[in-house]
Amino acid sequence: MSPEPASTFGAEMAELALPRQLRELGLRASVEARRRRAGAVEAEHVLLAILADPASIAGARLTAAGLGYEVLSAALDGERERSLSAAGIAAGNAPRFTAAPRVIPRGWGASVRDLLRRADKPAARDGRPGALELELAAAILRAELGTVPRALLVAGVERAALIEALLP
Amino acid sequence: MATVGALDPEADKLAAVVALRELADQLEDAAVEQALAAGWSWTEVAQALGVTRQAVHKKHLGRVAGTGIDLRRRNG
Repeated sequence: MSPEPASTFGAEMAELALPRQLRELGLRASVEARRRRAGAVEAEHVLLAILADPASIAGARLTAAGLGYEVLSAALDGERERSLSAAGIAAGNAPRFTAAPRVIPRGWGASVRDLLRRADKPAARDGRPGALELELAAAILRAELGTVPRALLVAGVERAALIEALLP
Repeated sequence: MATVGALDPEADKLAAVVALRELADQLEDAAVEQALAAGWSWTEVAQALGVTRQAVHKKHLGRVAGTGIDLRRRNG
């Protein structure tokens, strides 16, 4: 990770420094987390933010390989339904609560902390546009456990093919 | 070590914990907001939740401040 000072978009966010190239992505990921009413910014929100960015090389490669924003969003809904059903809450029966959204999600979730720790250091120093974002997206897709691999399995999306499309 | 899969029954149960925590957070946000709108004080909300007034205030004030709920007399 780059020795850049912490990002400044909220005291909670400041506890984990983001490489300069990822700050804007971090902000957009927190918007995605808020949109999905999540308590923290997790790997799936980073991936959604990458897919939502029309200028992102990683996003374009994944979309072309079949993982567009809407596909991931629906896959995450499917994963949530499956998880709640394991707790006895039937699909479509989960209550929806209306409330003002939290001002910002409460910081980085464990999945993002783990990602940033594992983020490839050469990629972090690589000045080429999108190099770190490509590496980050690949790291998210390489995870064997957690919400993203579950969502992709539920949706029948092949992770290996996505990683191949991302880093040919 | 045994191979574990993201959709194993064990993974489903662990993911259920994650999903229920999110649902509980959403319920808390809605319930706190509705109680304040109904005239409950921060202290009353905190007592009902079993947490300190400071904790509930810190967690929810920024969020509910923009909802139009009159919070001026909620200092108790």
